[in-house]
Amino acid sequence: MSKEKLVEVKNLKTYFYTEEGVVKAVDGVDFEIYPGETLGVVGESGCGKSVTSLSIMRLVESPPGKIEAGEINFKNKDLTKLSNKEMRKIRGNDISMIFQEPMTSLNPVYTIGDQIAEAIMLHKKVKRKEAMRQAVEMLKKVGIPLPEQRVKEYPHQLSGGMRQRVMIAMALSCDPQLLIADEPTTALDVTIQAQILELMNSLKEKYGMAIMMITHDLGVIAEVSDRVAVMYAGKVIEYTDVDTLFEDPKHPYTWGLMNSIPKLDRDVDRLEAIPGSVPSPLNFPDGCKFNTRCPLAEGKCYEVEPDLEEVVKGHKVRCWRYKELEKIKQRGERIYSNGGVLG
Amino acid sequence: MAEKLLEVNNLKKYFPVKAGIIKRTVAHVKAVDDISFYVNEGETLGLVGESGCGKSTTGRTILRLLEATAGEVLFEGRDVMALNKSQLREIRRDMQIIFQDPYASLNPRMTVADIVGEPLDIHKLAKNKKDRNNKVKEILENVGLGAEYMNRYPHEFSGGQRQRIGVARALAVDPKLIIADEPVSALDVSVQAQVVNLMQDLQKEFGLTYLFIAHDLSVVKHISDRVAVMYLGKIVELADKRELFKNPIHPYTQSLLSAIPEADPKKKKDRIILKGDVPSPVDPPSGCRFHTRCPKAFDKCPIIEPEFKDYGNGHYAACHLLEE
Repeated sequence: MSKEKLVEVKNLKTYFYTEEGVVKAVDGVDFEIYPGETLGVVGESGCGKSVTSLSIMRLVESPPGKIEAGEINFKNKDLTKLSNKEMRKIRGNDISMIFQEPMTSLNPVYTIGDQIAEAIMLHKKVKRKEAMRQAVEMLKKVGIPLPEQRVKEYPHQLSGGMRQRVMIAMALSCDPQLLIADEPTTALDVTIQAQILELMNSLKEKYGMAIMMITHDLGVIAEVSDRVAVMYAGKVIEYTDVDTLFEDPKHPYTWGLMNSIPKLDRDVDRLEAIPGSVPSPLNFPDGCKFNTRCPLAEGKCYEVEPDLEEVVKGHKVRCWRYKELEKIKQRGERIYSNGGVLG
Repeated sequence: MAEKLLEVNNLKKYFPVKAGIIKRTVAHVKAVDDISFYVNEGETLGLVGESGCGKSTTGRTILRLLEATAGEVLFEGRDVMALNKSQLREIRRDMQIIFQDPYASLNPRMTVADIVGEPLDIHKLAKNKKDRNNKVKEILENVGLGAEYMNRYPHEFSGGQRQRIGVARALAVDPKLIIADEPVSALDVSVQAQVVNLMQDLQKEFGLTYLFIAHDLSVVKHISDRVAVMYLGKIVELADKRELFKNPIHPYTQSLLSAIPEADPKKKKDRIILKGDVPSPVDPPSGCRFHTRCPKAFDKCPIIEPEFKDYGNGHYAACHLLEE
């Protein structure tokens, strides 16, 4: 791609120094985001997807957290090198973020108008009255009915879906170039989730911002992403465009994830379950971190950690045995057991 | 013809809303408002709906963990609502529940052996300590946990393992019916499949009947034989799962199915996006409760409540459009 990268994350490592030991929440993450595109980041709890986004925003609490190594280049500026003051100018202005739980992200004692206006005044140097007018405008854009009235209300007076709309209005109030959305629809009902995803897609088209969508839901990923990074145990283990990922997953973990969810349009008697659970970040195994659950793991997998390697143009995978998976897929066999209680 | 194991007729559960100094009842939350269904022996009935639709309240009211406001619950033909305390305890041997949150539903101060053994004690199913131990061991093995876990505490387990303990506890008394209230929604995707498979294995092995309550339609479709869809305290549609997912006839079910993001980027669905939020169950809309959000509502809908009727082959729905 000849387009200029908006964000380039290189070898990012964010560790937490706790009493029990060093938690390597993010341990060497690389990806890039181009202007106007949506990067989906998918993984299960504890894989480091949220800490990655908090690192970009420099919102990792320190101590105990610390960005240990790596670069976060945003428009050719390394965010890790900026002072707190410079970072404050970028946060909320060039890069905004929305979170999973809109109730805890909004201040319960201020009206939503005050909260949106605060963000506007902070970055745009306008008077309060003008900021309020813009707040109403933003609420209208995110589809909140009766915005003039709603700006005077408090968060508890709104439903979950409405609160998430308010969060989006606040995040977009300064025309960011990158919106980081951390599980924005996980706390919402399906019909409300559909509303919010549609809103985000239409706003993205209208304003041309890039989105980093963090979620555990492969359905949401398929719906909104252009490219996808699959994370496991603090690392990106597969990275490619969304169509290729779903058509030809090359990492045994991605393959397992896709087969462990029931499909609406296909009936299977049993699901293929990935055995075991995610290893504790205090106690990652040697070699490939997926080796405790991978049915294809053998000698080398237990000793040396594979790199994230570009095996086909535009398709990166971190696995020693991806060719083996290829053969199994061609034979139409499964790699995960779907039987037995011990599953 | 399969026997009905559980039959629910016109079940209602209202929660009073109290206000003022003397806590006068000013209104009612109509969490469950006149629903009827049955579950056949050995089958799985899925109960789906969004938050606040009353699906969990339904499960709890059937077990009398909550007392019903009105209606009838028949378990093997016996009226559960009429039972006294000791009869109720006896019948709960046959009806068990698995909860959503595997972190909150296990006592952190009890070992796994005691958590699973407690129902055995309550129902006096173990002859002595050794027998109890053996039974606990056997139950744990059934859910895929080895005997070495017996003396550990819940915090030492992962979410998936805890849910296995929750399943083991329900299984301990050899029940006929298990009400599973969102048993996999708190679990990671890769672990959900483990628990779903486990529940299917156990059903086959012990001939269990499930009432499977969940908001995730794809999981419900996978595990259920028939599915009931709830909206604001009412069942709006109930049918065989294949029929329901292939040919949904209620507008709410249609939009619900179209709203699910599918893990297939090639598929662009025609989405029916509902406007607005679910109204409050304190003062639910008149007539058909879905009329405020229904894309197909017409003059009759806000006035008359549609009847829940069989539209052929056990495909039930409540919608005026179907009567035309």
